[in-house]
Amino acid sequence: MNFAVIRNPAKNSSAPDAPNDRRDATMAWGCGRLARMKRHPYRGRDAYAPTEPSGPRPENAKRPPEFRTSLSTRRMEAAKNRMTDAASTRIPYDFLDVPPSDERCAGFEEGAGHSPRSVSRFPAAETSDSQSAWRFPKGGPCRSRVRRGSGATRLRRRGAGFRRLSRRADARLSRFDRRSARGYACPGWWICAHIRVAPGIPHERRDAANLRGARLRGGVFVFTRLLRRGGSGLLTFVAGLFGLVIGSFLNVVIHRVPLGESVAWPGSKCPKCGASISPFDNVPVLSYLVLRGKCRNCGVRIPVRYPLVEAATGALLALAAYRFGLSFELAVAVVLVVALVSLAMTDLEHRLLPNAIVGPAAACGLVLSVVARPEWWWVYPASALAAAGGFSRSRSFIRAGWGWGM
Amino acid sequence: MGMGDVKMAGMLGCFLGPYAFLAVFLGALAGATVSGVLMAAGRIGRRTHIPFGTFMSLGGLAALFIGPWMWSGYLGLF
Repeated sequence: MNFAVIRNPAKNSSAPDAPNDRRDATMAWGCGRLARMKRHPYRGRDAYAPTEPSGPRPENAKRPPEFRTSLSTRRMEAAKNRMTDAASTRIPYDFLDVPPSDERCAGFEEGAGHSPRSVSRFPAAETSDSQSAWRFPKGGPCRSRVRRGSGATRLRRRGAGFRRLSRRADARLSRFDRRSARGYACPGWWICAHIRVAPGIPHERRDAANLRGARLRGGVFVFTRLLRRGGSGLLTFVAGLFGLVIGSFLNVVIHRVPLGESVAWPGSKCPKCGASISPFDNVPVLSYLVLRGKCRNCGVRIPVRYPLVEAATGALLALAAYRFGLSFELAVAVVLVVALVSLAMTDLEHRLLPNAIVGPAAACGLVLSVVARPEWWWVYPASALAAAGGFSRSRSFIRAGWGWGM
Repeated sequence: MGMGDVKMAGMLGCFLGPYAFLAVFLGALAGATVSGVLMAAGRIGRRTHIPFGTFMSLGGLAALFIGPWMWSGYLGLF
């Protein structure tokens, strides 16, 4: 048998201890998912991953009973199974992003991945052996009896909702939750994560109460869950810089397109004295600060709109990168943000929404969003027509005097 | 509100899909609120043009970033 020796973390002293609360607390202060993965006690230990025999496996060879695939493989498989299950059994809720209520807690029973509580964050197969088979039973996180441990074990168990030890420890855990929650993509997982188990209450009532309480407690976390994180810090930063430059260009667009002038030519000029602006004076936001809002040549005030548009575009593109990560959705978001900023400002300044902006943006958006979600290709043109049609209908109502007198 | 707003709503539909309705609704809400406040403060008159495109683009940004969240939260009320 040339499988590698598989070490049992609970029995082998050279293996790291099962994760304890202290470790979790330090993890909480790390910087996110990568740091957590790096500090994962099972990381890089090939002992847990099988080395496949080099030759073809004989037909009758059984896998050893303690055969375990590696952590990441198992997680990936679980996710894949869940996805295929969801896809085959029901209409995908992808588009409106609202999972059916029974799927809100999918994956929670397995104790794998979705709940950031310290125990269930580590998959059950890895943390449990005969003496601590601790995982949620199928059908819900309910237990009728408190298993007592001491020290680290108790702390560890408390993490998944046994007894509240102290207010302070609890606060630490919830902070940990908020920190660790960012990377998880399960929609509505925070409902799962806040389920607590109180012994001695009948299951149904307990579940209902837990869900209610989870909703209430989840309300605190709404602000951290508002934007699901997609992109890295570097991507966000680069997108912000890119957005500043784009915003500088948008200023030109806002100034010239409603007047019917060319965007590209001629170069930037002071509208009053006509002096062309040097590249040094054209740096987004910074130049405005350096020049103190005045033209270098004639001293005419530069409207505060210019740095504001640049900063807003930069911030919005950074936000988009943060939210969507490197994906087609990011492309859609970038084009939309650019179009919306320029349209908002032209409407504010000239009361115009130039076709030269709306038309190309619409075409671009249609193509990009169909590329981003090909299976929903019909939704975009349909809702474009519906939005425009509904709008013009309401507009004619308003004109006919049926509206609110706008 | 002119023809430009209609086209802009169509453009939002191209980008956002069904969330465009949310965007238009939020824009109308924001526009009505702001113009109501300004009207009450006497800064603008009854016939002043409201730049609805500006408000609609604010609504579009909200729908882009937190649209799904708002929608699921709205459904969660029931």
